[in-house]
Amino acid sequence: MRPLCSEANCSPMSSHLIAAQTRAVTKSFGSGTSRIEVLHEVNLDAYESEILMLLGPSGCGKTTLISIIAGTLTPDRGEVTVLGQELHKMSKAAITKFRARNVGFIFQQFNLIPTITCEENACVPLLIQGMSMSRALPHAREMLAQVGLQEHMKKRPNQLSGGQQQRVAIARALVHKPRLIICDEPTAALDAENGRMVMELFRSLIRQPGRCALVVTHDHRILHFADRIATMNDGKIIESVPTEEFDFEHHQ
Amino acid sequence: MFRLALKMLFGDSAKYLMLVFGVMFSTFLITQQSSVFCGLMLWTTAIIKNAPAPIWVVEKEVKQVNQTIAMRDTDLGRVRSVSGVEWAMPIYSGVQNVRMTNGSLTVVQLIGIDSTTFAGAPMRIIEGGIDALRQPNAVIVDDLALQRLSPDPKTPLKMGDTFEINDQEARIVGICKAMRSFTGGPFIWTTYDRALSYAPPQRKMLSAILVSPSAGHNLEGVADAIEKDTGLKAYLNTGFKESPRDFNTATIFWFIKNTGIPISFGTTVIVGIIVGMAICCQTFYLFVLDNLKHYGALKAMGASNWKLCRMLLIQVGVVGFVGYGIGLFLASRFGLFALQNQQPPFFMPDIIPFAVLGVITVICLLSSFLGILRVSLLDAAVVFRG
Repeated sequence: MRPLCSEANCSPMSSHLIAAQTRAVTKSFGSGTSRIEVLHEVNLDAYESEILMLLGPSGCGKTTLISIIAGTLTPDRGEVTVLGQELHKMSKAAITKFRARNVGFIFQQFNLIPTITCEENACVPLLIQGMSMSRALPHAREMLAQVGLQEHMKKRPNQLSGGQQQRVAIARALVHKPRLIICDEPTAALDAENGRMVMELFRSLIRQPGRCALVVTHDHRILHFADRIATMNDGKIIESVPTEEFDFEHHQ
Repeated sequence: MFRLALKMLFGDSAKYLMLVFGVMFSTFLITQQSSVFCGLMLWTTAIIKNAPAPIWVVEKEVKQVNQTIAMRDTDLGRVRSVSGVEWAMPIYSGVQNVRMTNGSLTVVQLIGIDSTTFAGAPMRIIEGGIDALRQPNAVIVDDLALQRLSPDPKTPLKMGDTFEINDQEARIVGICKAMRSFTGGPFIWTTYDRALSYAPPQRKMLSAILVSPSAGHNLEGVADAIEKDTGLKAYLNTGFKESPRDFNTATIFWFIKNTGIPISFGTTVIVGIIVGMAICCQTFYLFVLDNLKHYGALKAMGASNWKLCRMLLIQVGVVGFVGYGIGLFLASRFGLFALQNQQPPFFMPDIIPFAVLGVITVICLLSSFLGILRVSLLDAAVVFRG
């Protein structure tokens, strides 16, 4: 799929294929006088083989935007195309199946199931796709080894540090080889050192052809791990630039 | 996903045990109370079971076997003259006082049977023989009587021991196994004539007439003929609900309609259902709420509502299966204890475990319903909202 970008806020990386694209996406919550429009005709392009970070103050619509791109929310208006599929035209069931196959998630609070081991947690996306536990476990172990947790596979999440838990979450997000990774504040629950280590690991694993990561963050310390940074405010993308062009001092 | 569902369930051991306890409590209480009720109802028919005969002829106003309205002795001859009657024998049935050697009194169910044919004799004599009833003052007692009629329960009565029925001597010449009577007293068999001498004299003493049809005549036809020719009531002894004029059925339904027993047991059963439902619904819903963010994460990762619904059903199904198994096991142990000790009454027809399984299934489905509803309506995007 070729880039469709024509907006001023779209990326200059026009030579890359587009992994996710929104056009005039609008989303509001509530009704009547309490209705709040969270997204105003948002246009965003995320390209394959890039890490795109979404930056902005609380309540600016970052999480709503990635939820729409991930297919967990439907927009009121606008078009959403992810990996060539027009989500706005698909049924909920089709989107759910699409998400299971193509999207990996990393959550702010890790969201690991505490009663099962790390390797079983890492299996979950494969189980959702219908694979048996016995067939899924080798994949999960391989992924956990890649994130450096081969010694901790049999442990439960609460036996690991925050950084290690987020590494399990990364293994879980990547075990089914998704092409789109959605990360919601991946370092928010980590200290600076662990945050840096997790992002280094994340970046090394994400760097694969055809794979795109959308990262919502408040953490300015990890912005340099991005290929491109999009800034949001009041439900709009006000800037989308390559990291090297991003004005770090202005955004401090 | 099933393994995942089970691990999520077993991982929260406190809630898992609470859920199992709820189902187990319900299963045990419903099964135990229903079985005790059935046992008690069975005891109401003990006289029919212990003095078996194909047809019981009684006074026309008699509604159940424990109700004795004496008939005239001449009624025996009238019944014998009915076409299709092979034989008809008198039987005396009544509650009498027994004085033990230490002077204390206890009540017994005295059965007097024909001394020639012994129609209505106990089915399982374990010591002595029925012919010994022809000896003076001879009685056959059930094994409960050995304990109950002994002044010291540690030294039960034995063959040859004597006691008094209404101040007249009785000597044990046989011991039998018998179903416990509804009144709780032991059964004592003697001859019809001797039973009349034990019982306080009344103008009419004949309790019932035991009848067998001649070959080639069916029970219903003979019973109809007896009722038509004599004006007495002829009940069949075919087994519960086998026939509309079955004496067992009439007796049990009389107790159901005319006593508070079903209400009492029914209330306990309903309490069992309500308590089990309350524990299960509340605990399982709390379990779902505790795991809501994980279900949300699974949903975000692409698990369909149906898949999550199946996970919840598996969880509640396992709880139901384990709780039902333990509850039924405990109820069975209780039943075994009851049967060994001959009290309380306990009878578990085949239908009870299946009926309880149905009730437990409904409890489990209701418990999972709220959770399924909650998870189905859960917005997958909730996982991004912290």
